[in-house]
Amino acid sequence: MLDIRDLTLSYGDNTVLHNVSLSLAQGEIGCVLGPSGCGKTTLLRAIAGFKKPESGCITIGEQTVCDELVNIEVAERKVGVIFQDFALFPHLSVEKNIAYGLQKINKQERKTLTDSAMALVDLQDYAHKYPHELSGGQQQRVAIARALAPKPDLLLLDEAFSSLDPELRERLSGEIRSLLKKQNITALLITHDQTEAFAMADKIAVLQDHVCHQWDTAYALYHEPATEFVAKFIGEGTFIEGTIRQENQQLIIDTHLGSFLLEPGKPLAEGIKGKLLVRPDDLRHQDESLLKAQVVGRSFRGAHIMYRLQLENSNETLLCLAPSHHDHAVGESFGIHLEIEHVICFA
Amino acid sequence: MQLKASAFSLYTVLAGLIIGLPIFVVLLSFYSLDTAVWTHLSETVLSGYIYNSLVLALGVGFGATLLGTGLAWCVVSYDFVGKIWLQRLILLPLAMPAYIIAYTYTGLLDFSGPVQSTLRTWFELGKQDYWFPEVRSLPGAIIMMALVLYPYVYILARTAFAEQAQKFREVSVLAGVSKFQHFLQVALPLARPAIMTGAALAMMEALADFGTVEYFGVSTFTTGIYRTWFGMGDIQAASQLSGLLCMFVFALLVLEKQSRRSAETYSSRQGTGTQALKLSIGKGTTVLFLCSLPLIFGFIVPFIQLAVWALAYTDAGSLGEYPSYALNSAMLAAIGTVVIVLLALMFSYAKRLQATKLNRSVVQFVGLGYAMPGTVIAIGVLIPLGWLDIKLNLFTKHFFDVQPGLVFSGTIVTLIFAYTIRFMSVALHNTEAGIQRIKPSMDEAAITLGDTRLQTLFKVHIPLLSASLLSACLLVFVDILKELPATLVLRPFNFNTLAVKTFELASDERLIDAALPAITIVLVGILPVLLLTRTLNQIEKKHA
Repeated sequence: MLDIRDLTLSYGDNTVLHNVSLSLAQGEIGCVLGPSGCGKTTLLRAIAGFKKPESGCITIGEQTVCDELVNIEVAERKVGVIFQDFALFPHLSVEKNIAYGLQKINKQERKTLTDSAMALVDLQDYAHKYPHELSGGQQQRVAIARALAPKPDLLLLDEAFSSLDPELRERLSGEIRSLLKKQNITALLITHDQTEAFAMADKIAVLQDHVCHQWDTAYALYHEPATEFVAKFIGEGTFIEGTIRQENQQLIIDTHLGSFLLEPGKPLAEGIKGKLLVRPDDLRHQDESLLKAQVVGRSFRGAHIMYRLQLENSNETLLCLAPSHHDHAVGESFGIHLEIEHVICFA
Repeated sequence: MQLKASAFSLYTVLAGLIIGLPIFVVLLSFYSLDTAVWTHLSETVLSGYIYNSLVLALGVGFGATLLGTGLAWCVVSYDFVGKIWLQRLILLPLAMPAYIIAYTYTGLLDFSGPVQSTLRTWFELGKQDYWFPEVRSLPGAIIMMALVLYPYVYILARTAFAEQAQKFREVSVLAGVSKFQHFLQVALPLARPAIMTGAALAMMEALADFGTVEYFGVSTFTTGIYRTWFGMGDIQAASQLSGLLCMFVFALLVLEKQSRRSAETYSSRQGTGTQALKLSIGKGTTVLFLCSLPLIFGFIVPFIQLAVWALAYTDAGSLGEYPSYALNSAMLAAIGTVVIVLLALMFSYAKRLQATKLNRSVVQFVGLGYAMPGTVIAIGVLIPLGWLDIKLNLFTKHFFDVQPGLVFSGTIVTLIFAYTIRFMSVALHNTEAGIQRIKPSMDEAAITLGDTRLQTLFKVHIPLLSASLLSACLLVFVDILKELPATLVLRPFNFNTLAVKTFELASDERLIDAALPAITIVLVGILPVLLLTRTLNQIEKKHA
């Protein structure tokens, strides 16, 4: 449905995107996640057609909208965009805003499409209101209806939730996901907020320093991060150091926590130092465990307590998420049990 | 989309070049410098022009600064009885063109005028028994112009004072510094760039003035250019004089632009702005009285005099030619307004679509015309259009054996062209500010929904800009109505306007006859002043 291959784009001498590739099937919701300045907004603008890439190609539906030879105009790409500030026309009513993209079709059909778009976001009662008379959430629903009314092949959402307050953000992102799923709409969301990405997307691209680090499901990003940046950026965790050795054609890393079998196919070799990713959920708290660590910090999170631990025989720290009833003070000894399901190691 | 945007840019650059043409023409006239003419000029009148123009500009700059800064300081730092009314009325002198206030005071203060007559009756004086200052003089011209130009300084100074943090004042109080010393050592230096900008604008207006100095018989550059051309028929020398005047204007322009820039660095404000101090009734009344003086002498007195004359004139019966030249004025102003505001909209939109260096500099360049005196623009417009007419007639005579006559230079086309140069900045100021308030995502939303750039302009930008466009129209309309020197020089034969008629009748000492067109100009001119007053008060409220 959406296919982006080897997209490279720069402003003057500044490379903003370098060989970015990702693809979405019909009805999938994708997300581009990254810290500010990573080039994610530029990617959206390139897909919409506001910015012409240097190389690479973009295909939307059956149509190649942009490659070395073609560069199809914004208006003909059949892309709907929901802007960060919603960009509702303040001089037009809700109904007219939604009908704005339907001016080329006849009156009867326009009315039908507008009405169904309004019904979709449940705004029929607000047809004659103006944007400034609506709440933030309602404004966003108008923006969604306006973008969806012309039945675009692809919906792009540019930080579409960031101007809403956190509570509303969470509720709306859930609502919109089910709406898009029900309508089988392909969408790409741009955000810097992990929770938003996890709540909305089927697949997530992590962008940093103009490069796409990984294009995968949220589960894979967390448990099988492709790069050290993804491992650090997604979720919590710490690294502990170890040395890699070879045994029976297999690579093994030796650390203070023990030895772990590495997955094959990684650019790792015998004799080099490695860093093993330990997520808070890789550790289980067991008072009777022989492996002991000292509590150096703790933060109470309601159902759980996140403990920051220091191993007895090194200065490396670990994170452990323990149920809230397991209450230990800073300085106390803390028994841990290791259950690393995904062994992730970087050189 | 790319193509459409670049088409806008192309038109912008073309229009920019055409609008810039007269300025180039004037400056290029130095290319063929006629030493004989210059020797003659420098031996006879040139030093007088330079001296009078400089003294006039400096005097007006000083007077306007004194009045404008003083008023602004009182209004910002004190709360007194009647302040609200003062604030509402204080900009009214802007509605009074300098040539109108000049002839009104001449009528008031002349030997036969009401003031001297009254003095003579009171003190039983004879003709030669007393000394009375002569209004029709260089100092007179300075006072007249300062009285109507002080709002330029006042507006900028008031905003600058109001923006100054209240904390600064508190620091001065803690340090035991008196209010007057605080004004001298803190408030004034901080507001200086803004005040300088206002003073530079007032001085530009003074240099550009033709009506007042011509009426008062003070020889300045503008009257000199006019006489060299009409009296001596020497358009070459006239355009070279214009070029010289341009140098002075450019110096002021640089001063204005630089002051504006440093004003921006000074305006970084934290916390609340200056808070007004409540004055007792006695002190308040004194301040109110002092602050009302510029308003009284700059507007109320001349306005009443004009009204009295206008009533006397209409009492006499027929309106004469008044309806015909009022109609001419309205028509000219309407056509000019439409042309100028549409062009300004095009410039702003092209700059928005493609903010290239070229587009930005074109927009900046066409916005400089406000500094050019009308007389200079008239010369710059007439030379190329006259040339074009000659060529056109040669061409049609050769091929069709007809001569259409003066198609451009003798018609209102020339006038509109000149107005476009002079008043483009007024319109641009509004369209630029308005268009910058529209978020760029609006454009992108419209484009993704299938609009072309032109459709976006009509369906999104123009509706959102309606307030800015309206105020641009109002300001340009009134400015054209008031414009005197370019209209006087460029108008078609026997074509009169309110401004031209006011000036001609006043020059013929038919002061009472001149009152009706004059008061019409003033009354229409009040509209944009009211608009400005409202905007200014809104800005102030935001800072409070």
